[in-house]
Amino acid sequence: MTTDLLKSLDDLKGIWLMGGSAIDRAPKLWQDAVRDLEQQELALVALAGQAISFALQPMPTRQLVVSPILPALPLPATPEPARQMIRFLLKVVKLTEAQMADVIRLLTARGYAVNPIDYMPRNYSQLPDLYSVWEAWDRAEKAPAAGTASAFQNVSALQNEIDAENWDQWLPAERRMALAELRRQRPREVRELLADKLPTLPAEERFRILELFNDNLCPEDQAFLEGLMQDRSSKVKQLAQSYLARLGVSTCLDEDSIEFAQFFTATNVDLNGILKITANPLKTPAQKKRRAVLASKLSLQCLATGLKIASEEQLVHGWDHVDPQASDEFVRMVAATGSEKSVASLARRIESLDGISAEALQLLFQRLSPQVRRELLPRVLSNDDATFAATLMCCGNMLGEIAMEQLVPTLAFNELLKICREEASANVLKKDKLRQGLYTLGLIAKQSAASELLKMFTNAGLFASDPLLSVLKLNTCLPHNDCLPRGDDL
Amino acid sequence: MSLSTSKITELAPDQESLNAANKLMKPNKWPCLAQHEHLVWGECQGSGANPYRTVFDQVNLGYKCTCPSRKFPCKHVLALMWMFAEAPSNFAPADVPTWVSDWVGRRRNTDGSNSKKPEVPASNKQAKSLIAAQLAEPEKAIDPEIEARRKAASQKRSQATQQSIATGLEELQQWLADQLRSGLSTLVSDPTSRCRTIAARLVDAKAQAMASRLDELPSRILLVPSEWRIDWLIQELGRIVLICRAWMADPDDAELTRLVGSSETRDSIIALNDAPRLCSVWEVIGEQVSTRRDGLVSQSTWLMNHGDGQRFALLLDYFPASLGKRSSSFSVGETILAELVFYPARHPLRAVIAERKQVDAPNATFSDCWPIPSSDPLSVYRDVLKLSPWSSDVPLLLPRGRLAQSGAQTWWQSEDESLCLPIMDKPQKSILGLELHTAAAVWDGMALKLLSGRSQWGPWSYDN
Repeated sequence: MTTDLLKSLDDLKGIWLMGGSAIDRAPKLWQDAVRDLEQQELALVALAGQAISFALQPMPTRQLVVSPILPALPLPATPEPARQMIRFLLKVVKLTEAQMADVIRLLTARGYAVNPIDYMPRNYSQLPDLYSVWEAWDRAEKAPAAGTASAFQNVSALQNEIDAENWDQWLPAERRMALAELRRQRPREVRELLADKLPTLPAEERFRILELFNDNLCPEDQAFLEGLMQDRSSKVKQLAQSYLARLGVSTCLDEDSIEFAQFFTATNVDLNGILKITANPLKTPAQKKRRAVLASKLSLQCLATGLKIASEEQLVHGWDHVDPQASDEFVRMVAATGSEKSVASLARRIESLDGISAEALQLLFQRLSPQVRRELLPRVLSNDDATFAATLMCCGNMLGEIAMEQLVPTLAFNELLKICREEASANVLKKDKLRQGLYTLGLIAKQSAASELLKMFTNAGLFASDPLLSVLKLNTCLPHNDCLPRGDDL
Repeated sequence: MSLSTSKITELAPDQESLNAANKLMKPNKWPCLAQHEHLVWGECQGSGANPYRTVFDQVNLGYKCTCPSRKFPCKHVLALMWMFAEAPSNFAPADVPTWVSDWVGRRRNTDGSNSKKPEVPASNKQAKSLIAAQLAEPEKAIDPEIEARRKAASQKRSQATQQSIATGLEELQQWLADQLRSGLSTLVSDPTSRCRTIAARLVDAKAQAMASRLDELPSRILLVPSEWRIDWLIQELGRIVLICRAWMADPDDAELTRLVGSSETRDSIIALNDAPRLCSVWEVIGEQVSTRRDGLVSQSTWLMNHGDGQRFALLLDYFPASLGKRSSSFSVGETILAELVFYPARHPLRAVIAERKQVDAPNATFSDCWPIPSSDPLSVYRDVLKLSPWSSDVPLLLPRGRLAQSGAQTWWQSEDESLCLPIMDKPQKSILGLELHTAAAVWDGMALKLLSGRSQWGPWSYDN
């Protein structure tokens, strides 16, 4: 019956498509129904239309491919009041992708994950590792035809440890997470696996996997890293070199060390052998450029060798902050190649390094353990400006931890409050500072501090409904999820 | 800045606006009046299906209203200010709703200043007075003779209109027959020029609604994937034939007159004694906004009933595109307790809000539990067709399912894979990964327009 109807409809469509009368090709029942009507062709169209509506349903021409189910993250989704604020931030305040990455880091630090219905990241590079399963899902969803989707499902189903046999089943983001987990438990197995598999990967992926060695770098890694000094990618080679430098293995050329050392003067300050290392004044841009190139290429140990100083730590202790650019290069060098001790030592001198870039500070703080970072953040805060940009960079993933008593005495906080009080007459630059400062405070403050800050800034003249306060409001909607690991452990 | 009546007078664009504002100062016109700190807002039931949302800022007298008026401030803003100036205690303290926060956010983002005061043009400072606005207009005595003449003239006009429409529909049917004779492939390949002439003729014949339908046909064809265009076109032409013939058989039928000529006003629908009415908790499940070729923007707000009785309702408004983007009256997911009056129809769907009431229970109580959908959602569509075979957009509740891809086309597929229906637009990425526990959608006989639903991640909406 249905087949007859479909055939009749096909006949009618064929005739109407080309033009002409289709009465003779209509089913007998339809012909009888329209026989006594005016304009029988139109009546036939009405019948055909109804038949299509009732009996026909469009069918896919190709096989239906269902996307893998978006995997749940190891953290619960944000509570409803916070969801509303996130939607407000996206729709009204119109946060950028980079700002949303900051907000997501705050959520993670408090023990929550963003609800994908509210926001689905487009770029995962700045997000906490736990979002790597979404990145894997995203890739699988984009290339279902290539079989990536099934690979995604297989790995999700497996939940196994990574090994040489299942290596190819893992998608890059998940593979990195699996390798990081295995490295925490059995680092030797990871080194063996990577020695075998790393050369088969593209340079960018090799680099991202090598970044895992940033955590728990140990002397046992030396042989593996030395093997990477022959890598095809200069970026991979440079990263391996910086890890080796942190382990105290010097790979720099003597002539480079000597040339670099000539940019500095080391003098004895007293009879106890305390040194002062000062950057020599430079006359030409070419000289500055050369010093910068050497600083990015060489290790801290090379500089110490070039200056004939016994240890890195002496060099860090004796560094004299006279040239902000030279200090900036020095801080980056320590962050990339210094030992744990040198990094911590330099970070403790942070107040004396006025003028160095926030990015250099960020690199240095990334090397610190959460405990040391927590200890040193108030020092960054006390030297920061009203945008709190340096503090935000140095916080890393440890957002939402600054207490009210740490904020109130700072110059930056009082400047922000002052701008708020005179907001009506403030110029564009000050207003922008207020916008940026309140945004950052929303990210770095503790929940209790955020509540107090809301009160303070509304008393100082902002309306409670002002969108400038929206990140602070989001902060107040995010009680710490104590049942789950802290954000910096994820 | 405190709000004084003299300030309101100064802001008013003219005396007529104050007169109109005065007429709006009745509590029953404003189901919602509230304030929070410096912000004051209200919802005024205007002539459209959706209420107008009006807000002003006491500090700088900035204001916003969703009505389409070209006067700034409009009568709704003036009425709100006036009522607040006279009796601020009538405005209940409340949390700032999202639409007010959005407005505050957009103001800061655009002008960057909270303290900017609206400038009053010198021409506005001419003689205007609230007292004059409050003076009751003298009631005109009704002359029975004039009234009888007016009724007779109205009847004559109505007959002339029906005659004109009948002529227009005859021409339309002739045009349809011509399309079939010359081949639908020509109509599919060049729909614009073919439809424009007949649409213009229908406008002349006062068949405005049918003219708009024909005018929109080319753009609607283009939205349909090419392989289904001929099926879609036969469905649509078949519906037009049915409407034409049904109207000619009964030109006084309200539903058919609405599909052919023009629709009733909101007030006339509310005044109808036999119009279906339903007071219930309604959830806003979707909004569709589209600009038509005639320069009007059509705003469809879909509501779902959480109680017994009719499951869905549609609030339909039109306003000129030249007025720019208009804020939505409701946001998806919002629940309202309201009495709706439905436009009389064989399967009533389009409605207006007769009265909004206070919802005592929190929103979540309603929004967390959706009605259980039928396992054969298209049976609802078929039932509607049996009552009114010319129906095109029918809201459905879909059971558990997923979205799937077949080439560039996205499909909704039921969990047991027994039913798959194509989706009109490409969904946002995250919805592809959701387990759709339930979904509300509009089926037009060929494709689904997804609205919103529930998933393992909670409520979702298509335009998120």
